[in-house]
Amino acid sequence: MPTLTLPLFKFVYNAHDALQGVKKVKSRQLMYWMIAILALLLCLAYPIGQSETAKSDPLIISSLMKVEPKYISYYDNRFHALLSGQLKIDIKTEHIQNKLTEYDLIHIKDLEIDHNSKISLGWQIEDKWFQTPLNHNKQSFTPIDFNTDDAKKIQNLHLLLTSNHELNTNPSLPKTVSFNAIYFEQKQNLNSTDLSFSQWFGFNPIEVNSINGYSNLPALYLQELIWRLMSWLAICSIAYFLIQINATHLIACIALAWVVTATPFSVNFIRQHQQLNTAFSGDKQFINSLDKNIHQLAQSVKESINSNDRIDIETDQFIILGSNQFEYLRLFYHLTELNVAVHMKVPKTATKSPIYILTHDYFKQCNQQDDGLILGNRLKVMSIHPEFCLAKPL
Amino acid sequence: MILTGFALALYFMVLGFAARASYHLLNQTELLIEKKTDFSAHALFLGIFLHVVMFSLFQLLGLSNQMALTLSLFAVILAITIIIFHTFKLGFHTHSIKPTQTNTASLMLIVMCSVMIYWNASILPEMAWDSWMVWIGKANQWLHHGLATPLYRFDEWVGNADGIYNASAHYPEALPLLYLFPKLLGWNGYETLMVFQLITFAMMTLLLVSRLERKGAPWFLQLLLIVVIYTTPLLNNHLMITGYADIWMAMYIVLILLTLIDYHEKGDLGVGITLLCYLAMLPMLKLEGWVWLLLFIVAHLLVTLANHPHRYKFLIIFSVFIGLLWILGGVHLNLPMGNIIINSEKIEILTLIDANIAFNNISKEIWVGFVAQNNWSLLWLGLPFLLVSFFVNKHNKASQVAHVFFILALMCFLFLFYFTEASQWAKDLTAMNRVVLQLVPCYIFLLFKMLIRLKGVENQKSTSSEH
Repeated sequence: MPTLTLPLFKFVYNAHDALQGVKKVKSRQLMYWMIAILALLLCLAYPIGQSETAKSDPLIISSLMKVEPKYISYYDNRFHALLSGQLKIDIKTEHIQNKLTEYDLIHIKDLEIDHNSKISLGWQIEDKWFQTPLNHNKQSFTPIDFNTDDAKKIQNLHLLLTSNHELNTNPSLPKTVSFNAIYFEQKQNLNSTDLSFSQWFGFNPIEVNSINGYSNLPALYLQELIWRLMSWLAICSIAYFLIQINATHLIACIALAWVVTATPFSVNFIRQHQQLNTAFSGDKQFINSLDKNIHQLAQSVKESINSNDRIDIETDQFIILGSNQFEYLRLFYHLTELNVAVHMKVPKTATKSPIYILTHDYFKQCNQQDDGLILGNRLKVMSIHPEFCLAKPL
Repeated sequence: MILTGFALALYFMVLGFAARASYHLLNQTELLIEKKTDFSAHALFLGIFLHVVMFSLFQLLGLSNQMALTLSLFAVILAITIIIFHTFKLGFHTHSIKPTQTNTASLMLIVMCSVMIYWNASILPEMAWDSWMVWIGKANQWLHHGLATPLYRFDEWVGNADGIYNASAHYPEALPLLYLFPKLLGWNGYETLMVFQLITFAMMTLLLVSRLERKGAPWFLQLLLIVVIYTTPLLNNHLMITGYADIWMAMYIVLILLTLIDYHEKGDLGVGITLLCYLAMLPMLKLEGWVWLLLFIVAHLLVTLANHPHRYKFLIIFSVFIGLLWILGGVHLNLPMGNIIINSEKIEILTLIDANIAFNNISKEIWVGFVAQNNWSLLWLGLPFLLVSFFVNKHNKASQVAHVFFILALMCFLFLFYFTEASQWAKDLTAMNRVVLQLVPCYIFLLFKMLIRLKGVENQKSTSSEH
C-alpha cells in the first residue's frame, strides 16, 4: 500500500503545481467543468456487475404460464390478469428447467400495474421459499438470483400478484394487471443504461413499517446511483483542490448530484400518492381492512360490556389476552375509552379481578370446556360472542 | 382541519410572544424584533415549551380536562393582555428589514415543499405504530380518562386501580401533552397535528436559512439548504408520516445549536433563558434526550477547558483520573436514584442505559442505513470533510461547542450500536436511522456552514442582498 500511495501523492502534488501555472480564471473554470462533465459521464455510464457467463437467448416465460383461464386472458396483443386479493401464476418448467440458472434478470415488457398491487417472482429450493419483488416500471427489469447453481433444484416457479393488504382498506377490489410478455434474460444482453434507469426509478411503496426513507427491500436499487454520484463528487473535490477555482463551481456540482438523487425520490413520491389514493379512496379512518374489522369487533365488545350487568365500565379493568401483534394492539387502540391493557398471560396477582377479552388466536379457548372454565381453570367464561368472549378469574 | 393546524401554531406563538414580553416588562426594556420570521419561530418553540410545562403542572395538581382547558384558554387571554400591555407601556421595535428576493424565494420554496408533503400526508391514515400506541395514543387515553390519570406499565397497572395502562408509560410526556390540547378543543383530526408539524418544521427551516444568511451564505446556498432538508428521504418521510417523536427531537437539537450561537454572539440574558428552556425540552421529548442534554453539557465543558490557560494541567488530571479508574476496574456507584456502573463488561447509568458491553459488527448495516438504502441521499459523503474542517479551521466558542456536540453524539451513537444490545435495532435497520435523524438537521447546518467558508462563497454575500 505505501508503494502505491507515495507515487499517487507525488502525482497529485505535481498536478497541483502544474495547474497553478494556468493563470486565467476562465481557463481554470473551463478545465474544471470539462473534468467534471467527463467524470460524470464516466461515473454514470461505467458498467458495473456484468456477468461473465456465456450469452443465452432470452427465454420467454409468458407462454409457459399455467393458471385458470378465467383469471388471465389474452387480447390486443397483451395478457390481462384479473387480480382480486391474490393470484398465483405457475410457470411450467419441464422444458426450461436446465437453463434457469443461466439467467440473472427478469424482464416484463409493457407492464401496467397499479401502485397498490405487487408483483413478485417466487420459487422453492428444497424446503426453502424465495420471493423477489419485481419492478413496477413499464419496461420492468429486475435482477434475480436463484440462490443455487443447480437448476434442477428450482421448484414451484411462479409469479405472484397480490393486492397491498398492509395499507389498504379495500384489498379485494378487482383490478387488472396487464403486460405484453415476460422473459428471463441475461444482464449482459441488455443495455446497462436501460437496466440502471429501470432500477433507479423502481417503485417503493409506503408500508406500515415505513420508518426508513426506503423500505428494507432485498434490492437496494438506489445504492448504485448513490455510489456513482459519490465517486463523481469525490473526483470533483479533488479537481477543485487541484485547480483552485471558486468553490461555487464545486457547490454547483453538489447541487447537481443532489438533484439527480432527488429525481427518482420525487418520482417515487408522486407514485406513492397514486398508491395512497387507490388504498384510501376517501376512507382514511382505518389503516387497512383488518383494522376496519377490528374496529367492528371493538364496537361489539363495548356493546356486550355495556349490556352486562356484572361489569362496571367505570371501575373495572379489562385485559385483552394477546401478544404485541397488530390485531391485539389495534383492538386496544379502539377500546381506549375503557381501562384496558394487552397482555399475553393471566397475571398472578391483581388488586381487582379484571375482565378478560379473548379474541383472535385466544378465542378458540372460549369453547373448550362445557363448564366454562378455561386457561387451566383460572378463568370462567362470562359470555361468548361470534368473535370473542369475556371471562373473569375464578 | 388545515386552519386548526394554523390556529394551534398561533396559540403557541402567542404564549411564546407573551413570555418574551413578560421578560422585557420585568426588565423594563424594549422588545426588539429584528427579523419577524425568526421572532415568530422562537415564539412558537418557546410557546410549545411553556404549554408542556403548564400542562405538566395541571397533571401534578390533578386537574380535570375541563379545568385544564379553561385554564389554558385563560392563559391565552392573559398572554394577549400581556402583549397588549407591553406594547402600550414599553412598545416594541421592529427592524423594518425589507425581505430580499432570496427571502421571498426561500419562503415560497418552503411553502411549496410543505404543500407537496401535505399532498401525500393528507390521504394517509394515522399509521405510525409509535404514534397510535404512544405519542398520540397517550393523548387519546387522557382525553377519555382525564389528563391527571396516571399511566402505568402492565405490572404496575394490575396492582393499581387508579391508573390506566400504556406499554410505554415510562416515556416522557411532552408530545402527548402537546397532542392532547387540540383534542380537548374538539380538533380530534389527525390533519391538525400534521399541518401543525409541517408549520413548526417550516419555522425551523426558516431559522436555519436566516442563520446561514447571517453567516454570509449566498442565495443559491440558502435555496440548496431548503431543497436538501425537504428532499432528504428520511426527513421527508417523517414529515409525511406524522406522529414520530424523533423529528421533534431533531428540531429542538438544531434550535439549541442556533440559540447557543446567538447567545455567544449577543450574550443576552433573555437568549440564555430561551436556550435553557430548549435544553430542558430535550428530556421531556424522549428518553435519549437525557443523553443529548448531557452531551451538550460535556461539549460545553470540554470546549471551556480546551480554551483555558491551564488546559494541559486539566488534561493531565483527566488522564490520571481515567488511569485510576482503569486500575480500579471502573466506576461502581449505588445511588438512591439508581446505579452508575461503568466497566469493561457493563455500562449502567441510572435508568438511562443498562447494557452489557460486547462487540457486534454492524458495519454492513451502517453502510446500508447511511448510504445504500437512500435514507440520507448523499449527505454522509460530507462527514469526512466536516471533521477535517473542524480541526483545520478556526471557530468561535459556540461553533466549537456545536461541532464537539455533534462529534460526541456520533461517537455515542457508534458506541451504542457497536458495543451494546442496541445492535439488534441496527441489524433490523429500524431504530438506528431514527437516532441519526435526531442529529441530521444539526449536521446539515454544520455542513452548510462549512460550505460558506470555502473559497469565493462568502464573498458573494453583498451580491446576495441585491437578489
